[in-house]
Amino acid sequence: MFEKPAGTRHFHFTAVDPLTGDIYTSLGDAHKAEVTGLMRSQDGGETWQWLDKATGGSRATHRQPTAVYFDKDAIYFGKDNRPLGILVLDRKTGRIEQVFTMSKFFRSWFTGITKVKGSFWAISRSFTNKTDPSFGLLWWSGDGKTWVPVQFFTDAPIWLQTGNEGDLISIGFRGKDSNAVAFKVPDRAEMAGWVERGPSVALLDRLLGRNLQGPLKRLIGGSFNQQERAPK
Amino acid sequence: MNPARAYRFLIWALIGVLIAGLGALALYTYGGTRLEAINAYYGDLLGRTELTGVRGPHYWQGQNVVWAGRRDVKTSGDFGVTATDDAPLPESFRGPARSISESIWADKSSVYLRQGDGFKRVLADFKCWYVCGSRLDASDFVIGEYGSRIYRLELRPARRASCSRSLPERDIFISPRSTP
Repeated sequence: MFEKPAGTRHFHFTAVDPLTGDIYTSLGDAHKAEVTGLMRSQDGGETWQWLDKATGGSRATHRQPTAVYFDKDAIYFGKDNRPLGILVLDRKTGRIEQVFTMSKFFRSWFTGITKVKGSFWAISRSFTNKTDPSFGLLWWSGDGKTWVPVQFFTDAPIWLQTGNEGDLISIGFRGKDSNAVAFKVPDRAEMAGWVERGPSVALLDRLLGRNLQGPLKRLIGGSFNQQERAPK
Repeated sequence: MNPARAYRFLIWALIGVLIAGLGALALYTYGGTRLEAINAYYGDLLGRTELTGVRGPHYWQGQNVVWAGRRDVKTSGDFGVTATDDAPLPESFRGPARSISESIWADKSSVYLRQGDGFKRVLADFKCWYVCGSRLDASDFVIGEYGSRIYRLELRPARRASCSRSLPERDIFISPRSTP
């Protein structure tokens, strides 16, 4: 149906917007190709238009999303290039804006976004490095713009699903021996209250900002499986 | 250099190194404590539950989770504690699975259409993105590669009488490539 345009390296996600039937795809990677961006087809794949296109190697202007969620008023994209974070495409204005920038402390790329019970959930995973252990995070947002990490994993989360008729989310991991995990989904207001009262790493972020990937991985390597519960 | 002055310099240097070391240790410890606190704090609220034996991509059918076992499609209604084998995976299926859904399944190099209890390979030498196979309309899918191509999978009603058990037999047609 469609072959990658000249100057691009490869497609990332391809997904159909369930609300409009438009097809969206993303092209990366900025550090290995000249052209990256977002494309859309509004005629079932016959023709494609650039929604966002950047040329000239790796720069902050490049957008090469790796995860997408189609909401009623906006489309949310998770990125795997700097500045790492979340983009939003406003359906009314057509404008794309980066609404969330992840701290370098959590340097990881988004593999899934969803919305359950009125709030947003996303997963991100560490970049591939054969010598370091993988890690990942579960993020929560009440408005799609401000995101907080709510769980850390010792493996790379890839697949994010909504299950049990909207009562839970489940996450599948890259590791061959890692069991998937499921989480109950609180209502938006309840979750917002917990986030407001909960621990934050903001101070640590501000203090150390960068170069903490190694310590973070060492920390989560041994300390973060204690919350797993026996299945009920 | 005056020996007394050198001595003082050495003392101050040692004090500086000591302070820096203690500071780094304090920050490291603080970071660890905070990260652990986040997992513990939200773990209570979110009720983290391990899905025993459920590996990689999966999806939910009502209260059952479905995933690709070594040789079979697995289903569990009790968070993976016990599982049943729904149907055999095709012999050509080379796990681990890369993407699965009710209709589209992908291993490391192929894409399969699941119809009833059977699978039909519709694309070979094709590496899916982690979630591939979006439904375009009632009968068509869009399948995106982690690579160079995007395909439209059209399911055309067959002219002959159906012999399948649960779904009408359909021809599978991969649409030709359009000009970018």
